[in-house]
Order: sequence, then structure tokens, then C-alpha cells
Amino acid sequence: MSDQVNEREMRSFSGYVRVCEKMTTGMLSIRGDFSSSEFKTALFKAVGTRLPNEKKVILAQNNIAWMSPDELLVFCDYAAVYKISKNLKMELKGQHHLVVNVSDARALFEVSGSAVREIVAKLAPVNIKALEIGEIRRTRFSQIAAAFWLTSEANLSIICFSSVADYMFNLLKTSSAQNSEVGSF
Amino acid sequence: MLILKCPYCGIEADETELSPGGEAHLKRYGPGSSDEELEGYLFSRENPKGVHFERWRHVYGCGKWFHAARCTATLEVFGTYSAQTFEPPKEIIKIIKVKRPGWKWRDLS
Ligand SMILES: [Zn+2]
Repeated sequence: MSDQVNEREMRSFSGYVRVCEKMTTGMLSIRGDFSSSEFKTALFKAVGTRLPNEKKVILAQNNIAWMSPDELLVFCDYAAVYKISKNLKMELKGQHHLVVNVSDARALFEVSGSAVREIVAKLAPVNIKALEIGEIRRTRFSQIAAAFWLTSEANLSIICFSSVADYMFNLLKTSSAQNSEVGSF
Repeated sequence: MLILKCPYCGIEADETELSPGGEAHLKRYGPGSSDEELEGYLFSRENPKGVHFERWRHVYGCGKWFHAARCTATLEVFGTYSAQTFEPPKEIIKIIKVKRPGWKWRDLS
């Protein structure tokens, strides 16, 4: 665990929606066999959650997102990652799996305001009108890989690699700039 | 614009979210094969105007490889299917037969 990330300042921007980088979020990348009941039991024991349905995020104290047919991403307290990952590795012992702490390798942004769907429409090749609340969509935001989901009609979460977090922050700033409303949502 | 449905995660992915992997269903010829077979494996590719079978990777998504059958002239997509197969599924061949009567692709028709 790096201390450096704790010292980075929280970035935010207020345009016609508000953009905020959520620093020091714990993130745990998990791969395994979703059809195995041992995997599901291990997940429940160590993370305290059931397996999310395809393309869904379980919105709870520790959010858990379905990333692909064999990959999950858990969000938790930055300080709790180590313990959760240790427990999960222990529970999954003997099974084909992967558990990696990616807290410092991913960046999380939250966008809030009434026009959050429009912010996505400006940046990603996604049919955003059809996206349900709690549904995760992996895609690209302009030139970088990203994933996002709506936690409500006015709240959007976006993750990307932290190596391109500056690019993402600038993108979101530009697309939420005052007087740049399109008004199509 | 080309939109392909990823058979692994069900996302309707835009072409810019995918990475092209070239022609589908190539048989690999390695040690012990003839010069002609190796040359064919390395260099001979179909370049049809019409029905084509390709490999694609959902690179800005779940990351899985899959297959697609589409028309290179109109971009009409006949279907996408799993990567774990040596030939296109019967349902997709049936669709192509209806939409492109008299089609041919390598030894398929
Ligand atoms: Zn996919």
C-alpha cells in the first residue's frame, strides 16, 4: 500500500454537473469460475456479497461489479483491501483464481447533476438512453478504456486506469463545462 | 458504422470498442506440413465482397475473442458466435442462405 496516494489532493470541478475524483478507494480485482459453488461461497465468506448478475453492479456498502464472464471488481475501504484479499485468497485456495489489489492502479470518478447521461453521450460510443441504473458498461471514454454505471439518475461513477486519470479528469471537465449543455436528455 | 454483439457479455459494441483479428477458422499448419500448406496458412486469405467470417476481440470490454459473420459490402451482420468452434454454427449458415442465396466462402456455401 502506498502512502503517496493519500497525499494526492482530491480533485473536483463544477460545471453544469459536478465532477469529483474519489481518492483512496479500495479496489480488488477477482477472477474465477462463476459457475462454481465453491467460488460463490468463498466470495460470500470473504467479501460478504453474492455474485452480481451479468453486467450489473450490486450497490451496497461494498459495491461489487461484474466486469466480464470471469472477472469481478470489489470496491471497499482503502484500508480494508489487504484483509479482504487475504481472506479471499485463503477461501479460494485450491481453486483456479486470481485476486489482486488494484486500488492504486485504478481511478474512480463521481459525476453528479441532472445531466449525467449527457456527459457520457458526449464521450462514449454507448446507447446511454437504454442503460439501467446499476448496470455497468465497459467502453472507451474518448481514447481511453473506462467503465461506468449510474447509481441514480443524477449520480454516475466512472473508473479508468490511474495512469490515465489526468486525461479522464480533463475530459470530464471539458464535457461538463458551463454553457456546453446539449439538452438532449 | 459496424456494431457487433459480443456473445460473451452481450454488449452491443461499436467497431471502435473492438479489435479486429482477421479471417476466422484458419487451420494452423506447423512442423511436418508441406510448404504449400504452411504458405497457405501464413499468407492465403479470403478477400470477399459479400459474406465473410472474421475474428474480433472485445478489447474495450470483457476482453474476449469471438467470431462474426457479416457482409463486407453492406456491413450487414448475420450473427456473432463463440470462439470455441472450428466452423460457423448452423443457425448462422441458415440466416446467410436466406439473405445471400448462392453465397460461397472457402469450402462453405
Ligand atoms: Zn464482451
